[in-house]
Amino acid sequence: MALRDPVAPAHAPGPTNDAERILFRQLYETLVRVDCVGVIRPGLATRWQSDGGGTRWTFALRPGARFWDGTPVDAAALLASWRDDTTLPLHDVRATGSGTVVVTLPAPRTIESFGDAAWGVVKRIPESAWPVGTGTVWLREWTRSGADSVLRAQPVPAAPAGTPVLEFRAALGADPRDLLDGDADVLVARDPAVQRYAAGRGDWRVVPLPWDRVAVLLSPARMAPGIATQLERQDRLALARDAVRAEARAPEEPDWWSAGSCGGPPAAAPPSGPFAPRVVFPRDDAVARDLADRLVARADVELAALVGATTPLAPRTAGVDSAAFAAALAAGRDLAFVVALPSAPPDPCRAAAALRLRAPWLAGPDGTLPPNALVPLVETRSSLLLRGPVFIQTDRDGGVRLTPQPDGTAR
Amino acid sequence: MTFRTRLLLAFAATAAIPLVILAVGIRREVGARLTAQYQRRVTTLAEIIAGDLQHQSDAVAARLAALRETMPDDNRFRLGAAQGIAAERGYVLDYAGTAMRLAGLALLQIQDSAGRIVSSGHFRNEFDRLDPAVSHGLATTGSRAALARGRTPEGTFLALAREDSVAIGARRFMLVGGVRVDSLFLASLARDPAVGVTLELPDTALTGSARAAGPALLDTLLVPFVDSEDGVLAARLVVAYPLAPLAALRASVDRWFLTALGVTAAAVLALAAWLAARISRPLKDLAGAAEVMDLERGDTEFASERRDEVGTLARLLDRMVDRLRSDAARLRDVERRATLGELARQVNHDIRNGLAPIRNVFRHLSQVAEQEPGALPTVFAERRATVESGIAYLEGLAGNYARLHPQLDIRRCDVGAIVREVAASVPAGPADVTLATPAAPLLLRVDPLVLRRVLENLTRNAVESLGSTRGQVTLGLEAMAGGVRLRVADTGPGMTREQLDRAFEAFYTTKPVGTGLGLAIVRRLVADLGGALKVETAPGHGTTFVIELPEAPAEGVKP
Repeated sequence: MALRDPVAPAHAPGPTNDAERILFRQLYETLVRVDCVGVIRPGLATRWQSDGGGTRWTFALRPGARFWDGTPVDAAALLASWRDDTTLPLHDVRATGSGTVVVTLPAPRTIESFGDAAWGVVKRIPESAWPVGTGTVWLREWTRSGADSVLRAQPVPAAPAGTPVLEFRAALGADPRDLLDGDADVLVARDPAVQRYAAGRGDWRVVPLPWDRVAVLLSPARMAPGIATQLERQDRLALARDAVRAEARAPEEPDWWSAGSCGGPPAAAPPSGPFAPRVVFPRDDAVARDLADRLVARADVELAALVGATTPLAPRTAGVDSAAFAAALAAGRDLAFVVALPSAPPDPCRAAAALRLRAPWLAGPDGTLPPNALVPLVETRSSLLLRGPVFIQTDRDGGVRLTPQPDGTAR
Repeated sequence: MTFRTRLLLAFAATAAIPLVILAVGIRREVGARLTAQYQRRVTTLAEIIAGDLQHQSDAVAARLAALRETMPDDNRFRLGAAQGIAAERGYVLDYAGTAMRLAGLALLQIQDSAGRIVSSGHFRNEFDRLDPAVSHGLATTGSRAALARGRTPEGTFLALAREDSVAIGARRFMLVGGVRVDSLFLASLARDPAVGVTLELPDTALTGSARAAGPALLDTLLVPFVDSEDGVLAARLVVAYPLAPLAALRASVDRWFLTALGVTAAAVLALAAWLAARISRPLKDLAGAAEVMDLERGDTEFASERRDEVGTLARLLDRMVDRLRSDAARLRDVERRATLGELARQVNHDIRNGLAPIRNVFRHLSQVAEQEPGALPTVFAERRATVESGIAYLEGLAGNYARLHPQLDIRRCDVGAIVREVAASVPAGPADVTLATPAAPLLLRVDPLVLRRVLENLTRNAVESLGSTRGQVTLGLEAMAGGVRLRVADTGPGMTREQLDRAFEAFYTTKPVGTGLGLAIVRRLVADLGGALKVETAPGHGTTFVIELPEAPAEGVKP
């Protein structure tokens, strides 16, 4: 499996990019999963029920569920896995019987929320940078050479027969076409040119994944009262069709961040201008770059209306690395940011909390994001490029899990 | 300042002034020629840069021409841009970027005939923006090199741009292409790192290689600058060549000139010193001869064999010396005669002074003998001392003259007694003689004969100054530190300034019968005694002579 983004064990189990998503999905499990059509499927839990209006959930854990080191998965393990993540509001996790745990939440959650990768169950041990998971493959080797790295995972003893041995190769600067020409079997690609190249080779299958990412415009200037301008649908369509060199479409409505209260703490006060005339985006996000370019090209028409500018704008784009982008987004001193968010997160409250951690100035009541704070621009998806007999399960959030063929061979 | 120094300075100035004028003139000429040469260099460089700009501009035009030939053959572009097929829209949007990179351009924009951007290579997502000003402005500049401002998401940049157009089907598309003009581009134009090339736009300036601070020679090129808002403007391409190397060269030339000037000046000074010494040596020899010249000796002379002016001067001086020697001999003879005459007068004068009291006593005695014979012994007894004193005076005088060189006879005596004797010797007449002496004896080591001669001379002068007018003659004496102070004052007519100035000259007198020797003798005698003589007088206010005599040393005073 070829990876084209950096992977960091500190992010586990919640992925921050495509590479971590495909890697973590093989190593770690959630209580339930939401498949590509939105059906709730068993994960670590085989049965579940809510008896508190969404604030109290009872799960029956899979019999024999254990971490790679043989430790059984129980209520204490679940509590230890989740309690350090501030984006996961949690009151308590208790065992109510053999293999049954009760999860108590401060605010209601749907069952889909527990399919969010952030609710993955892990066990952190001091001997390893990588948390111990419950997946069917066991991470046994991690070698790094500069920015590139190789990870090898082999089936745990209790894995179903036919569970494949996996090798993940992270090659950050490589041309994806070189990977297709090499010995990779699985690759996630968002670039249509790469997808066309893979299709043209004949030995690769191109499997479109669910629409998983929405690019939004965040602007501290929009925190001022009365600025509620959104892009018209035809403008979103034009953006997706012409400006973005990726598989894109106009974002579907309603937006997940328009959901109700999540019971979070009040946010910090929004920053006040003047703002640096920059449209900032992560340097390695090609879609964000195209959108920022287009916003600057049409600053006098679209961007001015979106940020409520009353004087002529002369902005410029600023592509920065991930650390600089995180710092700029937290400070909120720039005119606008182009940010990629999950298109349909299983746990919108958790996604909102995570975004508010990144941009504290997004001040909304009750843990929600403020109305109209986000301007959806385009929605994109990636494609999974497969070579040979590989069988997969896809989730609604774009996650992909390789599964053994029923006859015991990995296909 | 000596004659030799003046000669030295004159020679030095004569040589140095033309030298300095020559040096300044050469320096100015060299500086002007160097500056002109540098200016020609800058001008030439500016012309080369202008040629390079035009060459680069023509290269851009050639690339646009190639693109113009290729575009109609691209079916996908034709479908997307000319026919509006939506499926090829992405291809059209990316077309300019691909073409721009293949053509090696930094700016490429494809516009429709209305100026709407169809595809932009340097700013892919600025499609559909209406920006006709640049293409139209470039069209007006024709084939000349022109500048335009390109727009990117990150900002703007400057480009050396050209314009072309292509017809595809029924539609015409404008092509705007260019190469980036940045500091590296300007530095490449300069070629020489020392040369600064700066592009001055109406609102900003772009500099090539870091130009050294300080003055520089400048040349300016005007390049059309097409602005999307203000139309065609003029940008100034300033070529600057720093003057620092020129200044260093001029400083080096100055140093060499100064060195040459210094060496030449030293040589000139040495030559001038030699010449001054050579010229002044005969004069110095004359001065040396003059220094040892003695009119009494006949063996010294300004003998010179030179035939120049100095030789003539030496011979003239010799003749002058001969005349002086002759005149000196005559003068000595006159002086000898005058001295004998003066001595005779002085003897006459002194004898008359010594005989005067004797004659007075004798007349008195004769008068008594005639009128009161019985009182003669008494009167004789009274005046005998005067006669004896006069005789002693004459004897002393004779002794002095016998020696022809008076020898002071210093001994302790009562100065008051001498004053009183002199006062007593004054014959009765219009003068009322008053004594102002202390009652007690005032002893002083002095030659009494000389002191008496002094007082008698002064007293006689005082009495005679009164003429027939009644007046007062006062002889005063007082002690002072280390000696005595004597005064002989009269109430006569006093002296004018002119009379006073000549009073002590020998043979000068204002009296019809005087010898004119009295005061001259007084001055010499006072000087022999080591004293000082002062005169206080004014016309109409009488005359006072003040004599200050010190105590003579025990060994006596040398004459």
